[in-house]
Amino acid sequence: MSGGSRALSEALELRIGRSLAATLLRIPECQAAAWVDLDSATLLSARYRGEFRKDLERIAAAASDLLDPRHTTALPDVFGEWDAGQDEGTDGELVVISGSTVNLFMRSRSRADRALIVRADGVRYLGALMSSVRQTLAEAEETIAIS
Amino acid sequence: MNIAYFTETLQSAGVGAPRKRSDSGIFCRRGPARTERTAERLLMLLDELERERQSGVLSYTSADGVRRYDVVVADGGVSYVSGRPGEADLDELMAEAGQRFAPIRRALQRARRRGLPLAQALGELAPEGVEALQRTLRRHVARGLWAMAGDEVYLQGPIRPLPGSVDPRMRHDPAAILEQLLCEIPEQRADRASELFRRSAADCELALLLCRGASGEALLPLSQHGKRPLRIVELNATLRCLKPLVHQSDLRAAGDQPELLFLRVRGALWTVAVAERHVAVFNSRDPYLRNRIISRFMAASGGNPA
Repeated sequence: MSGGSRALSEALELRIGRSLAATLLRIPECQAAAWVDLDSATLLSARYRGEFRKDLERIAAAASDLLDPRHTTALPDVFGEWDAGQDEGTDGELVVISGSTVNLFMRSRSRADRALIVRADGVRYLGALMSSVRQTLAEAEETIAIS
Repeated sequence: MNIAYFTETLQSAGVGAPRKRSDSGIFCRRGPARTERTAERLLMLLDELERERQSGVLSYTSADGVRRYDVVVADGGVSYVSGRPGEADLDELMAEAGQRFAPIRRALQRARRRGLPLAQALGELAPEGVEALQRTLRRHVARGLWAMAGDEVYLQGPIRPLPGSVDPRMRHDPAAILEQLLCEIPEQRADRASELFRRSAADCELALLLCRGASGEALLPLSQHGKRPLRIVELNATLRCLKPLVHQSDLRAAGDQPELLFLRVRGALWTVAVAERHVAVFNSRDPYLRNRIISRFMAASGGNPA
């Protein structure tokens, strides 16, 4: 199933939605994938399995709160400067594990007010899931930048 | 009141300028005038911390440079943690407590015999034991604060009365003001988060163990492990950031109970483990730590790692 926001043009929604649908195909455990506008805590575009829409809206609201810079950037810099290039992760990534469910929140690099959220259940390898979601993020960055 | 005021107050009283450059302790300078200001401001500070429901840590370092007490004021309650890095000070304190505190002494012995953390053994105390512990801590913390206020006088002469602006009860008995504050010994039975802290703290640049207050909302610092202690400002910033992460209401409404959170900030990975009684926080630059944390956390409940 799919759902999108009126805030995006039809063409943009189609392009972003295609990338989200590909994510669902690539990750069998994935229940839902969506782009969120962090300022308004609303869904821009979403693809999901079954009847998942209601929970996805709540998770979009959670993304807006969890990725709020007031929470994240205020965390103290314990290390000082160091080379962050040791792995492929970037700032603005948040993983929340609740039992067998994993919620992944990734802030766009091109638009700080946009984030990709992915919800998966029964994930065996978190690293593989994160790599797939990072791929989705990278594929959509160009479109998100102009959204 | 904010934490900046906290720091400024202490510095203007001459206690924020350590003998050696350090942010981790409060050092008293010599001089009667400074002593008066120190004592007065300290008591005002405690009062304001309590009233404004702010968090902070007051540390008492004795004249010979040995850290004696850390008083943690969090969410309006005065709590206590022993001197870093472990429980030696509390041990010493209990040894002073005498036979009247037999349950506590037995908890100490039990902890040693079974190789348990002292906090865990204390968590198993009967209510009257906890009450006795609270009374003991309150008295000793009060004595510690008084000693801090009067430290330089101890070195230079008799204790002088505090200025008239201070409540008369405080002039001779700082314990009187502390009696008004809640002295809370959080329930400290082990859970998955504290177990993870025990196993993983040494792998991290920084590890914090927090106790969840009775309402589940408050986070009280219990223990810290790391290459350097967090400064008061950093501890407060960390607690402020953690609360929304731990208590995110929309996720809960979606049926999720967050147990593990991984957040990347400025290239470092913050890991937060949430359990029934404790919250453990880790900060590391090790890209492989996440997998180890997941395995250990799941293993603590017999689950399978993600």
